[in-house]
Amino acid sequence: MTRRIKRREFLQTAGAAGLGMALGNFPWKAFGALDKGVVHFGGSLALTGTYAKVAKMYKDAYEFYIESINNKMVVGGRTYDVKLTLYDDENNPTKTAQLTEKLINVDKVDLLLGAYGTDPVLAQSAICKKYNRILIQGGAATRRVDEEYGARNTFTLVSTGDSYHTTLIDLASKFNPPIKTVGIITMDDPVYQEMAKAAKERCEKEGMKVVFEDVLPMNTTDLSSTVLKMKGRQIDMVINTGWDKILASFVNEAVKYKLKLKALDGGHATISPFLKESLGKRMKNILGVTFWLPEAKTKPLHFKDSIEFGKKFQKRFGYEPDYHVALGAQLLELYENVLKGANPKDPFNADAMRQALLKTDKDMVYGRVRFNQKGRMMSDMLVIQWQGDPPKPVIIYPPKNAMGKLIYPSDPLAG
Amino acid sequence: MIYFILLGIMKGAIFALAGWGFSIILGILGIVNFSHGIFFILGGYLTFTFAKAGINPWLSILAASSLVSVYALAIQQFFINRVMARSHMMVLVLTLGLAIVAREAMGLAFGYNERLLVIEGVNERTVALFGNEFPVLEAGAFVLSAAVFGFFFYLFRYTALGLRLRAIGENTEIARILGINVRWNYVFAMLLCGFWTGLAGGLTIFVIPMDLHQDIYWTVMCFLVVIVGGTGNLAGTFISAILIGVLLFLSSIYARGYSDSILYVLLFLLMLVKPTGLFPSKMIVEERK
Repeated sequence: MTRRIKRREFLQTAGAAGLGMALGNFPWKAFGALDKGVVHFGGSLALTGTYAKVAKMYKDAYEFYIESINNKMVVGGRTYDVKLTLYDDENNPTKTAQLTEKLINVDKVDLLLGAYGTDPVLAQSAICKKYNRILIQGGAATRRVDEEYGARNTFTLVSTGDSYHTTLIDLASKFNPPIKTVGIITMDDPVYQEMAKAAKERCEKEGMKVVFEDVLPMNTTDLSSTVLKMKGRQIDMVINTGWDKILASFVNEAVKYKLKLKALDGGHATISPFLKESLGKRMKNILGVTFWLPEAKTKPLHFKDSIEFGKKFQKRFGYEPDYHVALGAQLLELYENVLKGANPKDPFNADAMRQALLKTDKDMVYGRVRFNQKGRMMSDMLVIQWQGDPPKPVIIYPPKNAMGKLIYPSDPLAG
Repeated sequence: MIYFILLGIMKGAIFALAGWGFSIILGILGIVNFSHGIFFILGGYLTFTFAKAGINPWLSILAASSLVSVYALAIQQFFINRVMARSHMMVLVLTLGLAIVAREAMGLAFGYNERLLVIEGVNERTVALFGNEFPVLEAGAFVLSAAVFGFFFYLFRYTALGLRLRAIGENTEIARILGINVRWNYVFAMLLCGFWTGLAGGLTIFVIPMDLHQDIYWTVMCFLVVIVGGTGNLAGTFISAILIGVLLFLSSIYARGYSDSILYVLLFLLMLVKPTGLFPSKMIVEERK
């Protein structure tokens, strides 16, 4: 026996099925945390171990940023509370990978913050790729990030290591009296050697001859043998592509053994608080490069400018912020900027976030943020020189950010 | 070349200053203290803190060394004494754990930044000898280590206290039966160890940047110095420290990047040929009853 389906019954059934299908396809997962009115950030840092001091700066920056937005963030036009889950990865890439999986699967974070160090960031990127998550990071400068994950999952806020010294070398090539010979100190690590190789090529392109190179084992702290090897050779400028510890020991030994230089490029760590505290007056006339200084007058979303950002940060945490702090704040600020106009139904959709990040071109706390097709932020380094008494880092190049002029000739080891 | 050898000798003097404490504790208490490097780093960080607070740098070193010796005594009294009679392995694990805890505690107390103490008129001072410049700090460290060696030589050879300490090192039980207060002598040994290791750290912070994680390096280097010199032999410790200082410095000049490899290959060869070290002493762990 058969029964004909009435038109009304058919429409009711079709409507219910359609609604069911629509609800089934609806991105409920995207609202896992948002359901509770919370946007959940997560990440891991080397909170203990060798990199603890840098990790602390990132952690402080996250806390400071979240406090400065009163724990609220606009996502797709609606305001949510902000939650942060941060783990200690001990700079161990295996642990970073495990913690990233935990953040995604157990903690159900909505957004991931980059770790610190090449290997942890690569490990984190691999997990983000597996789960099709976006990662914004400022902890690894290596090109490997671009090649393996760039713009697909990972967006990087620091320049590649090979461009760190370019601006300063270009500037030094115009010095009068001229820099004719260069010595390069680097460390036995692929990223630092990448920087040294690029610095060497740039020097030679600009007509400066590299007459001395010293590759230091990673545990080196005593630069006396480097300085003694330099003595007797005519070296006009020394470029350090290594850590701040290397620069500190180099300056200490170079003054002791009366090395004569026309210029010293202390590298990307020249503004580290450790150098200021330890070397003090001896920093005078030393050049360096950095991504950021408060005086660069960048334009944070929630502060008048980077000077106000710097002052408030120092008041809150008791130390002057360096570029790591700005980077930490920039990670959150960039997410905020992207999510503000996100589709409220699926705000964390990786494809949509990817497109939004690639389209970003905005002045923020860290400077002008825009990415190339490899997901790498396009930016020039700022050239600084320690000037005054007591010496302070002064941006001398590029002209749009400059706070003062280069003092040259000036003895970088006379402080 | 001779100039570099002389500089290496001066650098080796720091290893000697740091290594003697390790040697004394190994020889007398019969334990391998894996938190020894912490004494060194703590000496450096305290010296830095006092000097930055405006205290005379030399007084800062003395004050720091004294505090390190108090710290050394405290960990001996509260932790090491409780397990050393049971098993050497437990002492190893305990001191390793103490090092980790101390490192993190120092991070909280001092912050995680590195330290290098630069004081006008101290760090850069050199003395001209044989037509070459020698840094006064490193030269001073050598003179001091020679003086400290003289002190130890006199102490262990000619004083009743030294005799008691040697007796404990030879055989703790017989020393106890003979009426020697072993615990009290342990206290003295630990104070000596903490003081000289802290002082080595205090001097070193003028020469190289120090960070909280270097304690492992200094523990290993002190262990190495003692093994090469012959465990429990203070003269052997001095000579091996100087040899290692020269070797590391020459290799950093002529074979940068291979310093550690050269050092450990030579150590390996030495262990094959003379496993007791260059100058073995009877005050070694294996012979303790």
